[in-house]
Formats: sequence, structure tokens, C-alpha cells
Amino acid sequence: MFGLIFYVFVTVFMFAAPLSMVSFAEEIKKEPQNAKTKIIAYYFHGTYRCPSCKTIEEWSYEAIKNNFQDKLKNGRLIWKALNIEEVQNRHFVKDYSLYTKSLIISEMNGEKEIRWKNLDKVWQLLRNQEKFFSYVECEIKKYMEN
Amino acid sequence: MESNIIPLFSAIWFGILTSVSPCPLATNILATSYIGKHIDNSYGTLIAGFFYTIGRAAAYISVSIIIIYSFLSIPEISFFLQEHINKIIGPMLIITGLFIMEIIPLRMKGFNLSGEIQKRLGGGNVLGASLMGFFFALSFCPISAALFFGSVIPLALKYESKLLLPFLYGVGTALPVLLFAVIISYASRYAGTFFNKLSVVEKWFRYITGILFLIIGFYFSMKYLFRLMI
Repeated sequence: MFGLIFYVFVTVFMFAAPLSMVSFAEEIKKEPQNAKTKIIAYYFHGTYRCPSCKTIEEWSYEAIKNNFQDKLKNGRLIWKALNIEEVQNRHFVKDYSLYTKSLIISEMNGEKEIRWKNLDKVWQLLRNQEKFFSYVECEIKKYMEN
Repeated sequence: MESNIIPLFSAIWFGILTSVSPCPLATNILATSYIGKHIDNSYGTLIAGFFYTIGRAAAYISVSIIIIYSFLSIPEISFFLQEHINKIIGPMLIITGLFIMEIIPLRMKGFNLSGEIQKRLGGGNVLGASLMGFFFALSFCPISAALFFGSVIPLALKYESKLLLPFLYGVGTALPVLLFAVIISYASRYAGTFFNKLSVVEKWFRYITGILFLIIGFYFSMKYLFRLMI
């Protein structure tokens, strides 16, 4: 009886082990290369909010919320809308060479910034919501994949 | 400059995008009403429209040259213009409105202008329209700053075109106003053949323009000078 149980156990292990190895390998592949990294999508605005500036903020957040909900929930992607006229945020003007209200994506490894990009075409796509959404989605996807 | 015409069209297109956005709506209204008040002279509207365009283009060329030849960075120039020019433009519009309505006569101590010169400056075909175009272009708002500093300047640097591309952008930003000037010019010619009362229309245009300058000047002063949201 004990021998039979041992035989079944060994047989199951022999077949199951490679399967579990495969799924484990897939898990590793699916995991981000560095789990510590996160993407921050900043929208920088001033105290006065012009109609176009409000539209850019709303559309950007909507594009992110609709396409990256899981990433927002698990903290891999963070949305921040900041007023650059407030003293504690003024350094961003220099950090990102801002010249107007802007949408910036930044990759962080812990407290260290690895790279950033100004999604400056948002102003050119203000009259086309579909293209605007697609632009923001593609840029963030590209950033996450590379 | 490469023979590629894409950057040329891009610069004009960015200008048109700027001009049709809600941001420069107030200044566009002023420019069209200012040009419209020359309705008694069909060439007057055309001349005013042309020099308004030249004034705008000159402003963008100047900023482009400053960026290329000075040590100032784009963010410094952009935020300086957005903050300070918008602050002075409100009071400037109020004073101009008072001149247009002839509440303040255009006379200085020891310097009296003749009626004809006063008409040309106060009614101002050339100088008035050029200065208006120049200052309105310098009063950057978020969209004009984004498209000029973020799209036109990088194009100008890439194609080594520090004059032509900013000039074309300026023309693009003035196109709706220029189009209005052409329409008014033709309309006034046809209207003139039916009745000879365009001077009366001109008078009304002058008052409406003056009132618009006062209202929009007040609006700019409240918003940028006193930081009141209205």
C-alpha cells in the first residue's frame, strides 16, 4: 500500500514538476524587470485653469484610467496633478524644462528618476479626443514596455 | 533650409491651431473690431489687417532670435512673457480704448498732432495695427506657448530657420483676422456703392471697438494684474 502511494506521488511529481517550472518561468517573464520601478504621470498646471488646460487634464486622466486601471490599482502607475505656482512644486519647471501646462511621464526606481518624457503633442491633438486618447495610451504603453 | 515644405505648412498649421483656440479669443475679437472700424476706407481694413499680421510675425521672430542668441532658456522666456506681458496688456488696452473713443485726446505737452496724424495713430492703420499685433502675440497663453515653444522653435532649430518658420507661424495666428479684413474690405466697397453713409458706420464701429478695448482691458487687468478669477 505504502509502495503504491509512493509510486503515485513520484509519478504525479514527475509530470507536474515541468508544468510548474514552465508556469514559474512565465511568471518571471511577465514580472517587470525591476519590480521597484513605477511610472508617474504628472499633469502640471497653474493657479488659473484655462478651458484647454482643463480639457487636457481631464482627457489625460481619462485615457490613463480607462487603459491602465490595474496598473493604477497596484501602484505601478501613479497620476499626479500639481500646481507649478506652488513653492514646493516650482523645481519641476527646471527639472522638466516646462514652458506651459504639460503632461510628463517619469519612470522612478525607488526615489531615483530613471527617465522622463514630455507628451507635448497633447496640445496639437486638443481638437481630436480619439487621437488624444490613443496618443497618451501608446506613449505610456511604450514607456512601460521599454 | 531643406526644400522640404512640410515644416513650412506645419508652422502655418500650428499658427492656425493657436488662432482658433479659445485662449486668444479676447485678443482676436479686439483685433477684428479694431480693423472693422476702418470700414469707411476699404483699403484701410486691408492695410490694418496686413500690418496686424506683420506685427504678430515680428514678435515671434524677435522671440525666436532671443532664444537662439541669448543665454536665456525657453522656460525662462516663456514664463516671463506669460506672466509679465499679460500683466501690462490690461492697462494698455484700457488706455487704448480711451484713445479710440477720443475720451483722451492724443496730445502731449509741446507736441500736438495734426488731425490727420492723430487719425492715423488713434485710428492707426499702420503703427496702431502693427503694435497691436506685436503685443498681442507677445501675450502668450498656454496654447500659444505650447505650440510656439514646443513645436515651432524645435522645428526652427532643426531646419535652421530662425526667421521663416516663426514668421509663418505668426501669419497663421493672424489668418482669421486677416480673412475678416479682406471680407470687410470687399463688403465696404459694395456697400459704398449703395449708400454713402459708411462714415456713420465707422463712428459706431469706433465706439464699439473702444468699449470692447475697455471691457477686455478690465478683464485682463483683473485676471493677470490682480489675480482675480472672473
